[in-house]
Amino acid sequence: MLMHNHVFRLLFLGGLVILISACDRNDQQIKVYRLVKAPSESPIAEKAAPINSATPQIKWELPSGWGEGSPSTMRYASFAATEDNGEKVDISIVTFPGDGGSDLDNVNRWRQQIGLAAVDEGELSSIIAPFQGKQINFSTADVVGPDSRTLAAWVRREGRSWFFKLSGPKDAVEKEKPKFVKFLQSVRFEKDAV
Amino acid sequence: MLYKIVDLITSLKLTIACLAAAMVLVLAGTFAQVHFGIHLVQQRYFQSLFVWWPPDARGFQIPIFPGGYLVGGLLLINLIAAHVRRFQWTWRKLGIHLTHAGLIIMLAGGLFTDLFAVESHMRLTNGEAKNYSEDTRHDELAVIDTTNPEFDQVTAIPEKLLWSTRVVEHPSLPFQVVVRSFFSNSRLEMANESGNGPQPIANRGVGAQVSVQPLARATAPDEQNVVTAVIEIVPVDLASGATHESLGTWLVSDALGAPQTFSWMNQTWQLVMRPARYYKPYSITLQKFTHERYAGTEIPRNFASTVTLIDPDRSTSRDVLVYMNHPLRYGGETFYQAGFQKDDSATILQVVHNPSFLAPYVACVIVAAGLLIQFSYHLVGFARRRRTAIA
Repeated sequence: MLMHNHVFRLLFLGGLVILISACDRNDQQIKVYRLVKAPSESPIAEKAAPINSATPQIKWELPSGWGEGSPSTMRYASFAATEDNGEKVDISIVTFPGDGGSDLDNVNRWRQQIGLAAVDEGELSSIIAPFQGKQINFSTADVVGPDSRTLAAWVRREGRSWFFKLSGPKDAVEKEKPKFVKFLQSVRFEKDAV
Repeated sequence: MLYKIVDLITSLKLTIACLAAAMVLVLAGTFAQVHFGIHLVQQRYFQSLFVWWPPDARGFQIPIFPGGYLVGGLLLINLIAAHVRRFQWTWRKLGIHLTHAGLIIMLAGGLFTDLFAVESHMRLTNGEAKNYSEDTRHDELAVIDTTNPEFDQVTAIPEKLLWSTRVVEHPSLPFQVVVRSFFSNSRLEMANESGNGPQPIANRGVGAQVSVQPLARATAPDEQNVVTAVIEIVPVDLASGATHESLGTWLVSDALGAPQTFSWMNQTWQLVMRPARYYKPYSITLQKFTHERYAGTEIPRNFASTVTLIDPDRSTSRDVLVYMNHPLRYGGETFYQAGFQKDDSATILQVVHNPSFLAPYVACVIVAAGLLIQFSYHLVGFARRRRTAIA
């Protein structure tokens, strides 16, 4: 019987160890490791990568004269173009999960950025116009300030919103507008991963 | 007293109580999936000692029912204890012993699988090489010291720790990571500069232009949570332990793409919230993905990935074809063909690390052998008695 007692005590201890270790799953532990800097992890590769695996793949044809713009963590992609007179325009593609804010908030933010007063809901319908790309129906807004101008197009699909913006000095934006229109027409989404 | 405890843990009543509790738990867990989704239910009902109420509270909770670990653990102890106590070695009982041993291996294997198995995914485009897989259900905050030109030092803080801890400290970090807000699911929006509507809750990096709306945790298997946190970086003097003035607050979210950078004491650091990564000592390169369809339809007939496995430590470099039911097994991990991008430009491999994957097979063989021996023994005995009776 003494032998039995020992066995049962051991069993008890063993059981407790299993139960306690069950509480300490390793998904709560901080990991530290070193990675050799690989060429594939350069900032350009990082920027070109999709935002996460659930993000649909977006493709476009880049107009001639547009170069890589200043990178930003906010942007999915960034381009820039310089006119003959040295004026620069900025082209940005930004994406957010969800609706990315109301149209009124967005239009007013773009207006404020170029020094215009906010509009109310009633005036909004005269500012927003539809634009038909090859695959996508965009909403667009052309916001013209005293010096600057912003052409914005956006689309909401599959739980994300995508914003395409051309902004810069008034004349430069006017010159780049045909290229921006052609660029918007070329934008298309590949299907999600399955 | 000890005898009473021994009687209790070896009693058949405990076995019945555990089996009944397991049935109730499975039934309740199945119903709860409607609201909470399979993964959350697995955590709350089966990968826990108790089912707690209220389920979402961080503060006071009360246990309302034994959880899967407690029921399974008790059943395992009960089975082993009863077996040891009543163990008598005779050939007549060989079948019973084998059946019990098989059940013990199955229960223990289930527990070990639950504790140590890790599932992740590796998504590869044509020609791409990766030496890590990603957990699609858990995020991590990677704090990366990029100062050294040769290597990056990564400190990966699991999402769960950000949720449960207010101040994260680690010897690899010369600062505290103070969690100001945590959202297990959220929506990010550009903040309205006019001051109307939700405002940013971080003051550095991209977060200074973004507002966060908390969302209920996604429960459907095909929905993804957008984990977001606001963290404050508070430098610590390593010698005295005193804290310096805060460097500011950053918004980190897996909805944001590239890492955010800051500097402290001539060191450059990056912050990025991303799916938790599991690095491997070898790399996998996708050479070719093939996708055959039934003629005239879009229905997949077969899809397969030709990958190159390179392990410098073992001087291994070989091409492997991974396709349905023909996984690649290497270094304790199994790579299954799990999916693909619809334009066939990328393959998705499921990576399973399960040290006890053989346990169910071994257990089934042992239980089957035990039952066969036991029934054969009774059948032979019955046949003999019948023959004697007739004679």
